[in-house]
Amino acid sequence: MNGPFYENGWIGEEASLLIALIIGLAFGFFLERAGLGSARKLAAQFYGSDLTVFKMMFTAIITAMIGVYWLSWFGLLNLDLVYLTPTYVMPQIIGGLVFGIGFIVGGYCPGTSCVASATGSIDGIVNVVGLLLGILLFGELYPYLETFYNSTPLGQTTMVQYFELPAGLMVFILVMVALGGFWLSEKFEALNASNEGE
Amino acid sequence: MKVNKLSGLSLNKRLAGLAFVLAASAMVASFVAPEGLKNENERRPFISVVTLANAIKNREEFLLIDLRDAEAYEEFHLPSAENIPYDSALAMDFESKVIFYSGDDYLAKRLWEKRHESLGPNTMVLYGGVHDWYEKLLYPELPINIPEEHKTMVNQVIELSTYYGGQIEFVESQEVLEYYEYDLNKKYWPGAKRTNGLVRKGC
Repeated sequence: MNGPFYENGWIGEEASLLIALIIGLAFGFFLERAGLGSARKLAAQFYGSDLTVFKMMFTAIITAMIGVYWLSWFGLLNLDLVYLTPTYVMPQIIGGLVFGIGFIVGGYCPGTSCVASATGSIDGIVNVVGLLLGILLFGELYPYLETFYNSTPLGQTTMVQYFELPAGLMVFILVMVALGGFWLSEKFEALNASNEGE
Repeated sequence: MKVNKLSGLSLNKRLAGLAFVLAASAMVASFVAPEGLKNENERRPFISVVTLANAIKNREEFLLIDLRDAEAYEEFHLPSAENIPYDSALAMDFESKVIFYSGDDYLAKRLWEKRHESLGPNTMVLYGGVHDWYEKLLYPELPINIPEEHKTMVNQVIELSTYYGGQIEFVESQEVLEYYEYDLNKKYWPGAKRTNGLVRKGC
């Protein structure tokens, strides 16, 4: 029995949705517990005084990456069947900038705005409403944006394929970057804290 | 001594150490055994559409089995194929050389996973099923400019497509040749092509 369970036919659509629901609840719960339901904490990321978002997200990424690498190495997970969001370079850079502006202005990203709404935060709820309106607006404007939306495609690509490096080496490089980033961000936080104290 | 040293570290540092060890061993593993343990001793059952088309044309001895239901079989099936739907095939024993196929690989894969120990070394599965037969053999896309080293293979596809009454579409891209160059011994099952049901997307 190996993964992905759904693609390999081990579980059906209903079970798949149920598992997604449970994982989604757990994701929200831990986001909240990590303090990411607070707009102040999220905005502090951009002022450099609290880099929790960076540390938490990068930790999640390298944890999943190490898990996926080893599961696949032991033959328990078939990476060919794992869905990858296709890469479109320019649209995703512009999308990232729009996302970043929304993040700093609103104080939440889509996931954390839902988490904040769940705790009753009004600004969280306003963010979710804005998110839905944004989706609606994008849908209405899609015919005009379609050419750009589909431009500069790289397909379903991974860093391993793009740089043509062995998967394990790529894992090692990214973990080193993450650990270095964590070390630097703690230094940076300490520096900012001492400046504020003065 | 070592234990004392470890217990002096914060939880974060210990987790960072664990990540380092796992990542470093991942790097070593990907140089020592890049394919991992997954492919060890695993027999690949695949036959390509081109090989199968040649075999049917040359009237080689084997049983070609269509695992889909009777309706799908009536609508379209490969020449010389017999219809034994999945549920029946699951319970049958086959003596001679058998090649299975389904619409995509879904049924063939289920059958292979349930039965490959009892079916023996004479069993094969058509890679890509009816889908690839149709898209890659009957109505394939081939490049206008064929590189010298691919000429033999491309001519073979053209000949087979014509033989089975298909039609070739010539395109600019050379990438369409990639499919025919697959080493099927190294290939995993292609992803199930589900037309209705969940569309999987990222977050």
